[in-house]
Order: sequence, then structure tokens, then C-alpha cells
Amino acid sequence: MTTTGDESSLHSSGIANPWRPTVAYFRAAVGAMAMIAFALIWRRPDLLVIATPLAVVTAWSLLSRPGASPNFTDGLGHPTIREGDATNWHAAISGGAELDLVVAALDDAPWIETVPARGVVTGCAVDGSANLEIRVRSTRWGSRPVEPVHVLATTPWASFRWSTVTVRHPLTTLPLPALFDVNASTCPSDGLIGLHRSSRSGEGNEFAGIRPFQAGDRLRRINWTRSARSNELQVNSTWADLDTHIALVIDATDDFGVSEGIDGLASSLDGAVRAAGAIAEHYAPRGERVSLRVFGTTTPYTVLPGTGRAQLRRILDTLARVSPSTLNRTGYATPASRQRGVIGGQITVLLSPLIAPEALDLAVALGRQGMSVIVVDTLPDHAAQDEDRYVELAWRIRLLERRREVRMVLAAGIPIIEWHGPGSLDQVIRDIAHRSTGPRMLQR
Amino acid sequence: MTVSQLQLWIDRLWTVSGQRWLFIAVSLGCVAGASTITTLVAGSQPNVAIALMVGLAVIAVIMPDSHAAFVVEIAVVWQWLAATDDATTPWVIPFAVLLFVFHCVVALMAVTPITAHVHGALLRRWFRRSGYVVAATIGVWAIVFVMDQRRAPGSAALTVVGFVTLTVLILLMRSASALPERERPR
Repeated sequence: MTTTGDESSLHSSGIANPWRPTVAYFRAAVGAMAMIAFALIWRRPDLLVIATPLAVVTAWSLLSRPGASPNFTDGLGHPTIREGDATNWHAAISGGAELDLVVAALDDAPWIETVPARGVVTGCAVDGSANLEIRVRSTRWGSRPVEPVHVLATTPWASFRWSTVTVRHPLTTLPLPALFDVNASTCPSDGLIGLHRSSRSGEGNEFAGIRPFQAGDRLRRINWTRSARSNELQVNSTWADLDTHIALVIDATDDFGVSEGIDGLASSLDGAVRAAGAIAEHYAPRGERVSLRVFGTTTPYTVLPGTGRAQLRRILDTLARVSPSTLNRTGYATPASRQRGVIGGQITVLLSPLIAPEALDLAVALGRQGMSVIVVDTLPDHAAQDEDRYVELAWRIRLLERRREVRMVLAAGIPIIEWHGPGSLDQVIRDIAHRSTGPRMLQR
Repeated sequence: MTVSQLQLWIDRLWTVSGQRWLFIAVSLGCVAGASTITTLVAGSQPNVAIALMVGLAVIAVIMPDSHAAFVVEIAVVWQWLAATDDATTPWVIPFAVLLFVFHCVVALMAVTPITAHVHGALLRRWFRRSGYVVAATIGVWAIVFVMDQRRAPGSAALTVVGFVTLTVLILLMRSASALPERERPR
């Protein structure tokens, strides 16, 4: 996405140095004067000829000597982009007519590609002003600022230089959701808010059944015909006017594998974030409630259930801030049953590489509370490959242990699937829908 | 220099732009050309002096923002003074032009990163300006040549006036080159 920034996003740079004479100017001035002096002393007119170009350059440089520092503004076109998209860093510099050459160099940064390559652009000042533009493409999700840009301006013959270093511009790269689609439905129903009805009975329009009157029931819900037959007050119960709740839980305790951005290999966290984005992008705009919780990071990230495009944007913004942390990790300390509105939804999708024990414990704990849990295995195939054979051996041992742990989780009735885009969740959602119609044993 | 530093330095070589390599070639060619002209005017065979000059120029193009280029210019001019006696030879024009081109290219390299590709419009502007400088150089040589042909006798008064003018110019230049009071580092 190539954009041009508006004036409101422009601002002055960070540290600016005043105009200073360059080494080239010193060379021209001292060389010319010395040669002219020697020409006079030694009576060598040829030295005058040799000194002429440097003397002309010196005189020209002095005549075009700059006064005040130039005006410089820079900005970023769009502070928020999607993975693989690009925005423009643009700058405008204006000073006196003496401005000649302007150079901008953007520091290298991981997962940032620039055009021109290497992030260096030169500009030729016309009438004392010049515009510079560097295309910045972000290839991985995350909240990473654009590195400082070193800007240098010179006068004719590069005799005087002015330089500045811009401030870091914040850039948020939203994950590009993987392709995803679901054909299966947990509780097929037409109408209501989302495509799938709530699992809870409550205030709503869709008939669920007839039950005895309870305190708090509205009078208009009383089924008088049935009540007359049974000699007891009976009311029509309805399904709540709520939608399916997809609770996304991301295990960010570690990031396994290499992350080469959108165009290359994906790490475990890349897979989890993109899959979560894909699920949210599928359900939220269709009226389903989607929530997010991330554990294993320094700061706990939680997005309460919501629906619509705004909710999708909130989830993607939160996903962009996820980063694994080895210090002060936030565990899943709060019991899952107390995570009101977040955990305990219709379907909990846990995205994890299944290396840390917390994720498996969480999945089993949620399953034992009678919740529908789907575990998505995000460990990439290349994670276990390493040049060091001892590391590779350690990985093989760990993967054997992991296989045993996964079998235990599967035995507890919790499905574990590998993410492969569209249709990944179809079969497990059908199974959950089928299972939800039968009796269920809960452990309290 | 450690091995990792050496590796970084070698890695940086791959990032050097094609235009930068062209600038480097032009710089080295100018120094080699100026030194060769000196050798030819002196009537001697190309010797180690050319290799020495080019060696110094290599240091200058590696560190264009240093005084290495100044050392190269001094060395090349010193070789000219030591080797040639004919003060009005027309060979001094290409010699001066080559020295000037070396100066300009190194100045341009000093203000641009090694990966930069300098805008074509700027190069054309520098070419145009250089044309004026070359014209001025030819003009000065013509004056020197004409005065030499007239065999004008030396004048002590004119020499004194020349020195005074030069001193005044140096003082003016020094005051103009210095940073304004408000911009001086404290």
C-alpha cells in the first residue's frame, strides 16, 4: 500500500547540527592558498594554473555559504499497515538557494524492506528545496518503529554540510490473516445476530422449549394453554439473542522457529498470530462474538468479547503487540472458570506450539469444566532443525515427550489440529456440535 | 582488526553501489593520469611514483571524509614541481583538471553513503559547474602563457602586492568560513 502522507503527520526532526565546513572545503581552500603562495615564492606560474580550479571552488563555496539552518520536516504516510504492505517515509527540506544535495539514509531494521534498496536516497535541490521519499515495507506483524533516518544536506561543491537525525516513527504492522473458512456450524440456526445462535437460553426471540415458571420470568412469557392443562404456570423459554462466542487464546510463552516475514518461513508465534487473525476476521464481521487472551507475555493482553469490524481491528491491534518474554511472564494464573466473558465461550481455540506445559494444562482444565476446546498446534516443521546436532537431538527428545503429552490431551477428549488454512476447524466443530447434543459429564 | 570486524568490512564491500565503484575508478584514474602526465612531461619512464600515488589515492577513496585526499593532492603537486621545469607547458591544463576531478569526486563520496546512487540531475549540475572551472583554468594558463611569451621582467612591488592580496584573501576566507557566533559549539 503506497501512500502519501498529509501535512498533519509531518513534524520536525530530532537532533540537528548547524552548517559546518567540510574536509573538501578545507582541502580546496588550504590547497589553493598554499599553491598560490608557493607560486609567488618560487616563481612557478604553472602552480597558479594548478591552483585555479581549487581557488574557483573556494570562492564559489564562500559566495554560496549558507546562513541559517534549513527547515526540515518528515513523516510517515500511514502509521498502521498490514504485513507485506508498504508506506512512505517522506521529508521536505528547504533553505536558501545554496542548498545543493540532500541525502537520507534509513538504518537497517529486521523485517523492514526499503526502496531504494539499502534505504539510501539522494535528492537534488531545486530553488533551495528538495523532497525525499523512502518506501518502507514491513514483512512481519508487530509494533516496531521505523528506525531514525540520517539526513545530510550540502551546498555547492559539498563545501558546507548540515545534518540531522530524525526521531523514530511508530509503525504498527497488523498481522495478515491466513486464508480461513469454516463450513461447519456448532448449532445451525438462521437469523438472530450472528449466523450461529447462543448456547445459552435467555431473553430472545427463538423458541427453545417450555419450562415451569421461575421467579423473575416475564408475564408475557407464560404459556397459558400449557399452564391450564398442567395446573402449573409454564413459560416459553427462548434462546438468548446472543451469538456464538469464539474465545481465542494464544500461548506466547516462546517463539519457536525462524521468522522470515510474510514472504518466508513462519515461526510458531507467526503461525498463532496469523491463525488467530484469520479466525477473528472470519467470525467477527459476521456478527459472532470473538474475544482474545494472550498469556506468556510481559503484559497480559485481553480483548473482551465483541463483534463487528471494530472488534476485529481491536483484536488485530492487540495481536500486533504480542511478543514473547522470558522475564516476568504472565501465566494463566486466574482459574479459567473465573475468566468471565473471555474464557467459557462457546468454543475456545487455543493456539500454541505445545512446548510449554501451561498450554496443555490450560486445555485440559478448560475441557474438564465442560467447555469446548480446540487446540491448534502452531509448531512449525523447521523448528526442530538445527545445525548443531546436539540441539537437534535435544529437540528430538523434547518432541517425543511432546508426542506423549499430546496423546494424553487427546485422551482427555480435547482435539488437537494442525493449522492448514481453510477448513482447518471444520471437522472438530462438527464433532463439537454432535457432542453438544448428547449428555455431558462435568467435573466440578 | 578482529575477524568479525574484517568479515563486516568484507560484507560491506558487497553493498557498495555500482556508481560508487565508478567514482572510485574515476578517482584512481585521475591520480594515475596526473602522475603519468608528470612522468611524460619530465621525459622519464613510468616508475614507482605512479604506484605510490595510486596507493595513496586508494586510502583516500576508502576514507573520503578524511585528510587523506589532501595528502594525495600535495604528493601529486610535489611530484609535478620536482619533475617538470617548463612552467608554461600546456600539459599543466589536463594535470590541473585531473586534480580538480579527483577533488570533486572525493568530495561527493565524502557526503554520500557507499550504497547511495547519486541523482543524475545532480551529476549533470556538477558537470556544468565543472565546465566553468575548466574554462577558468584554461584562461589562467593563457594569461600565464602570454606573459611568459612577453618575457615581462619580475617586479618586487607586484610580488609584495600579490602577497598582501593573498594575505587579505586568507583572512577574509577564514572569517567567512568560521561558524557564526550563535552556531559555534560551546
